[in-house]
Amino acid sequence: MVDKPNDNKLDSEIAKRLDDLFGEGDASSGDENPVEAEEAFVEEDQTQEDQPSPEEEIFVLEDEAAGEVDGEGVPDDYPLAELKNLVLSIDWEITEEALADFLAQIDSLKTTYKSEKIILTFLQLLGSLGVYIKTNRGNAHPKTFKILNSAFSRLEEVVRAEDMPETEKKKLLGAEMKKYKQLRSQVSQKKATKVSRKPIVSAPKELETLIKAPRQQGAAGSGRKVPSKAAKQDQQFEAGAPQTLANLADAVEELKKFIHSELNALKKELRILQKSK
Amino acid sequence: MAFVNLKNKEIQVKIVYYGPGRGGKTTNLEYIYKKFRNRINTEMVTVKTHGDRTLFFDFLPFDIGVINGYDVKIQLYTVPGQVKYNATRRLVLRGVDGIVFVADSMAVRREKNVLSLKNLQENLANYKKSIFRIPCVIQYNKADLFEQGIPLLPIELLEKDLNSQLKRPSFKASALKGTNVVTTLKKIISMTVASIKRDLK
Amino acid sequence: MSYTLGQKQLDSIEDILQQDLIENGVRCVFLIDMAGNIIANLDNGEKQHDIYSLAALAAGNFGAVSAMAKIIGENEFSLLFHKGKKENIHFNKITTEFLLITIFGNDISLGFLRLKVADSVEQLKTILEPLLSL
Repeated sequence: MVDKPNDNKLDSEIAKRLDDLFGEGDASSGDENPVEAEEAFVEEDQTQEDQPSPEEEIFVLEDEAAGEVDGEGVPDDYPLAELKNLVLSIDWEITEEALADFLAQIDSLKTTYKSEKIILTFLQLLGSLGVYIKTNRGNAHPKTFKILNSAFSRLEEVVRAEDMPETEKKKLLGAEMKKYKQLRSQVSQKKATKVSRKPIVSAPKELETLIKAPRQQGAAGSGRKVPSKAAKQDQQFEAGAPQTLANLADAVEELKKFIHSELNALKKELRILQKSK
Repeated sequence: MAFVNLKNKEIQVKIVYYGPGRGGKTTNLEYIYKKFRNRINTEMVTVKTHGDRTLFFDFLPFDIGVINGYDVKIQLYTVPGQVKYNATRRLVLRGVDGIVFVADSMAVRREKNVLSLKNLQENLANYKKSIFRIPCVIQYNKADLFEQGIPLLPIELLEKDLNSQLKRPSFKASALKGTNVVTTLKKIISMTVASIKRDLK
Repeated sequence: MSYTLGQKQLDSIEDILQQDLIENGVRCVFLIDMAGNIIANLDNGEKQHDIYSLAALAAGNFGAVSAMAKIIGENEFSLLFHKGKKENIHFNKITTEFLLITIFGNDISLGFLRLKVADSVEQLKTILEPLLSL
């Protein structure tokens, strides 16, 4: 085995450097001889080249711009900016402060959008979910948060797309209301299995009633009718039949009252449960 | 794989101390760190259990200065030796350029040495690296225990078990006392840097 | 540090993890010590992971991150969470000796999970803390 001159030069340079850094040997006196002083494995023949050429780019550290892209590009005057922050914040960590700010923001936006019924309904739905989370926290149904995020995303779509047709907006709202109803139903069932009491079965139907009622009016109508079959109502709702906005607003108010009363009932039940434990 | 920064003219070299649990890998690094603190300006990082067993790795980086126009930075790592930490060992081996196999000279650890070497071979293969090609130095640690009357494996047996096929430079050492710790280190650094230089060509 | 857990304590631990986490949609949860030893492990039956490697790596990961925290002048980080496309993993320290690792999908929000984990941790502490004073 013959070392090439330049390899020897490199070896000696390295050895010298290491000697400078670490000294001649180890701490204890009388260095023990290595078992084998020479490298036994065969070195490959190589051409010698002291300076690496530009072509020898094996691993290059590139200065990549970090460039974090915020996909949303929220402008300063975006009305839902604060609410968005709060929804993301709640998704990340549920704190009293975040929930309180969330509900306060909902109230504020309700004033802003008081003349826009669909957006108002979205906000009321979000508010209702917020109250539920605030009341139940860790005992909230796991799906609540998914529905919260989904409802907010649809609200964003409606707010951003100014030229979206009303029917489309109602469709989006309807889909979210459906999920909300399903959640309500699941929560009720959960309560029913935990507590041997009469489950609150009227809620979903009544909820449907309140939502569907205005749709029965048609373009000329006023007053309210209670539809007879839930499935048929769903179909009609999904089909996006025209509604009187004023009646929708009334329905929303009723819905709000109903939710509050249900929440109070739930709170009462919880208190009884806790006492019995 | 050595990390070469052509812009800053810098090479980072990763050397991993491997071997069975309680064999002296961490002690090697601790000795180096203690002895050369005034010359090595960096801190040693250890991620260990409350019982002082390496949990993730020990890490000691230092600069050996400019060689052939390149600033050579050495990164010494140890792996956790306990059998159950194989996934972690594999992780630490990623991108390794040179290996110090720290064998335990105690007679009772004979089998553990062999299993650990086999484990090294398997984990290297995971990264498509061969134990026969990668720069490697073998250290037969705990040579000092002989003075205490603890049965040690004779060098010939250790060589037969661990180095008969690899045929790598090997040293009897005592990491606790520092015997041949630096010699081992110098050897693996020079072998590894030379190997990287050849790969760069 | 050595500790001994009796069957009753292990059963209680599993009950807590089952009720608070698995039944709320968490895919897999394991309680380990800082050396990566598994104390309790539960999953929802859907997928089996190599939990031994996971445990060792989780302990190493947590240890490494704790070392990073010290380097930047923090005592510890309050959140260690890795987000994947479908699966996510969350770490929570319980006393100085134990880690609760939860693996969950995107159907659970992180905020909700953190609430549930916080609840579980409070209950687990009552079982684990007495062990440390032995």
